[in-house]
Amino acid sequence: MKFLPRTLYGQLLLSLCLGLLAAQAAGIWLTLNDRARFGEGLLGAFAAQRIAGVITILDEAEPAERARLARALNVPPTHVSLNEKWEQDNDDGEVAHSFIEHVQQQLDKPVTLQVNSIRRAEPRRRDESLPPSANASDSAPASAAAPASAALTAQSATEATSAPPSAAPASATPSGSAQGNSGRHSSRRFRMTQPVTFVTGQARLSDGTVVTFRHSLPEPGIDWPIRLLGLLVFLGLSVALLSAWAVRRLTQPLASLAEAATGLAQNLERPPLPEAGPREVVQAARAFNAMQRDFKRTLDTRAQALAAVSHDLRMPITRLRLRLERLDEGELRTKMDGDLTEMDSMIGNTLEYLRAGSIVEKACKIDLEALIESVTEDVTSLGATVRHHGNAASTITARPLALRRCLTNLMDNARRYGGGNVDVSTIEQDQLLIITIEDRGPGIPESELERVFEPYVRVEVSRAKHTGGTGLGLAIARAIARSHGGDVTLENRPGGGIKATLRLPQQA
Amino acid sequence: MHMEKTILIVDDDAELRQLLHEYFSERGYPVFLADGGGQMWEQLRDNDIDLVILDLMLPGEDGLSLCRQLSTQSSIPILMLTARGDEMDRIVGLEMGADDYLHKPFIPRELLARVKNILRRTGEGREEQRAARALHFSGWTLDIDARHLVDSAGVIVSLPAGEFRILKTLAENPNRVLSRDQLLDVSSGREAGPFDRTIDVMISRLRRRLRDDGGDAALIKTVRSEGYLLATKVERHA
Repeated sequence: MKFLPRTLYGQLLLSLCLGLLAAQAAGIWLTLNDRARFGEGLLGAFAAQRIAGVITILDEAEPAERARLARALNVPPTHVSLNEKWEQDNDDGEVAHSFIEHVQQQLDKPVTLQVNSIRRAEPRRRDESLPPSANASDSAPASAAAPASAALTAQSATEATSAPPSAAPASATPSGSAQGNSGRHSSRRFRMTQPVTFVTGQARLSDGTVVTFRHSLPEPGIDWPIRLLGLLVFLGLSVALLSAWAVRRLTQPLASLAEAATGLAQNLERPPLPEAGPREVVQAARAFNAMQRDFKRTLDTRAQALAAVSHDLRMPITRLRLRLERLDEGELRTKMDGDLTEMDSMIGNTLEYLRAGSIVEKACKIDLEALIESVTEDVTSLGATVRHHGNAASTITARPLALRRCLTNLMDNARRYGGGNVDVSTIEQDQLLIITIEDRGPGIPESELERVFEPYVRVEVSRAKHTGGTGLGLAIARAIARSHGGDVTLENRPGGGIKATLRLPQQA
Repeated sequence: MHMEKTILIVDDDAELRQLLHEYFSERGYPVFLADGGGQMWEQLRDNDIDLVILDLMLPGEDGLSLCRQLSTQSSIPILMLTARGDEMDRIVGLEMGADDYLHKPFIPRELLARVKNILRRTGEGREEQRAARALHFSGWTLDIDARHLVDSAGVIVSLPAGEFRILKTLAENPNRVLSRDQLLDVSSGREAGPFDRTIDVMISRLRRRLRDDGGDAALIKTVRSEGYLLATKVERHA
C-alpha cells in the first residue's frame, strides 16, 4: 500500500484516472470486437462470393481458355491454380462447412467443393517480413505451411511480374502497381503485421478439372484504427487533465487551510483566507477567519489590559520619584531609587513586548556587520567576551531599532546566563540569514527550551533575580523575529551551554 | 537684571502638578499650573511664560493638538511628557512642534536638566532653539533618536552606544578640537587614566565605519596631544 499516493489530491486523481482508464478500455474492447465481428462477416461473405465467381467463370470457360483465365483470376487475396491434384484430406469442421455452404449459395449450379484447411498464421516480426519476399516467389504458392506473411508477399511479388496490369485494380493495394517493388513492400508492411487466415479449398468443375484456391482473409479486428485510437487518447487525456484541474481546485483550499492553521501561531496578522469556491470550502474558510478574528480580539484585549496597567503604574512611579527628591540623600533613598528603576524597566519591557509585533517602525536596509559589531560592543562593555565568526550578507531589510533590540536581548541573555563567553556567527542560506549565538553556560532542561519564550517565564527564579532579568528578553526577541517573518529557537549545545538561532528572511 | 524663567505645567494629574510645582519652585523657577487646554490658554494670556511642560495624554483636547496650536501661535518652547512609551508619540510630538520630550516615569533630575537646556538654548537665540534630531555631514546622517548612522545610499549603519555618543559630540561641535578626556566623559562618564586608549580605539572604529582612512581628507582628524575634531560642515535638522 505504500505506493498509493498520500495526498487527498493524489488519491482522488488516481481513482478517477483508474476508473476512466477501465471505462475506456472496456469501450475500446467493445468497439473493436464489434468491428471485428462485422468485418469478419463481411470479409467471409466477400471471400465466398469471390471464390464462387472464380469457380463459375472457370466452369463456364472453354477448357483451352482455363489456364489463361486462371492466371488472370490469380489475384490477391485469392490464389487460383489448376494444376494441383484433388487432396484427400480435408477440413470437416463447422467453419469449413459453413464456408462451403456460403460458396454453394453463390453458385448457379452446384459443384463439388471441399475445404482442405483453414489455417491462421501469426504475422512475422516486422524486420523479417521484408527480405524473404525477394526470393520466396516460387516456394510460397506450393507450400501451404509457409508463413502467411511470406506467402502473401511472395504472391504479390509473383503477381507484380506475371499478372497483367489490368488485373491490378483487384489488388489490395491499387496504387502499388504503379510503383516499384520496394514501394509495394513498404505499403504492405502494415498489413503483414496482422494475422491472416488462409482458406485452402478445391472445387471439381463439371468436366472434372480441379481448381485449387487459397484465399487469405486478414483479421480486420486487429487493425487498430489510428483515428479511433487518436480519438480515445485525446478523450482520455482531456478528461484526465480536466479532472486533475478539478480535483486540484477542490483540494487546494484544504491545503491552504492547513497552511493557515500552521502559520496562525506565528502570525495572527496573516491575511484572511479567501472566502471563495464550493460552499463547504467557503464555510470552512469563513469559520477559520472568524476564529482568527476572535483569537486576535482576545489577545488584543489582554494586551490592552496589560498595557493599561503598565501605563497607569507610570504615574505613581513618577510621583514617587518626585517625592523621593524631598528626602535627604542616603542609603534608604538610593535603594528606593533602585527599586523604582527596576519597576520602570519592568514596565518598559512589558510595553516593548506588547508592541514588539506591531509594525510602527519602517523597514530599512541595515548594514549587518555594523549592527552585529555594535551590539557586540554594547554587550562587551557590560562584561562579556564575544567572538564574531562568519560573514554573511552585507545588508538586510528590517526595522532597525527592533532588530537591534532583538539581537541585544539574545546576546545579553547569553552574557547573563552563559558565563560571559559568547560566540556569534552569521551564515546565509536560501535567502535566509541565520545568526547563531552560543554561550558556555549550564544550559537549560530540554523541556524548558520552548517555555522560556513565554513572557515572564524564567528557568531558575532565584538565579534570574540575581542576574536581573525581567523574563521578557526572549519573548521580545521572538516576537520581533516573527514580525519580520523569521523566528528564534534555542537548543542545548553538545558541549554545554545554549545555542540561540535567529533566522530572518533577507527581504522582510 | 535678568528675570527668572517661568514654567507652565500642563497635566491633568493634580498630585503630579503639585509635586512638579514644589520641585521647580524649590529650584528657583516661578511655576504656573494648568489642568488642560482651557487653563493653559488662560495662563498663557495672563502670565509671561518661558517654557511649557505639556502632558501628551490630556482629557478633552489632547496634548498633541495643543502642542501644534501653541507652536504655530507662539515661540514659547515646549517640553512634551509622553506616557505611552511609544516611539511614534515622541516623533509625532517633535513634528508637532515640541522642543524636547521625556517619557514618564522620568527621573526628576533629568527633567530639570532638559528644562535648563531648553531655556539656555532659547536664551542663545532662535537658531538653535530646538535640539537637533539629525546631523548631516559628508553624505552621512546621524539619527539622534534612533542612535544610528545612515549612509548616502540609505543603508543603516549601527553604532555601539559609546561610539554614538562620541560621534554625536564631535558632530555637535564641528571643527572644534575635543580632548580625549572630554570624549571619554561623554562616552562612558569616567575620567581617562594616563594610558587610557579607550577613546583612540573607539575613534579608529568610527573611522572604519565612516570609511575614513584617517589621512589628509579625513573626516575625524587627530590633533596631536590635544584630541580629535570632525573636519566637515554639519547641517542640523530639527
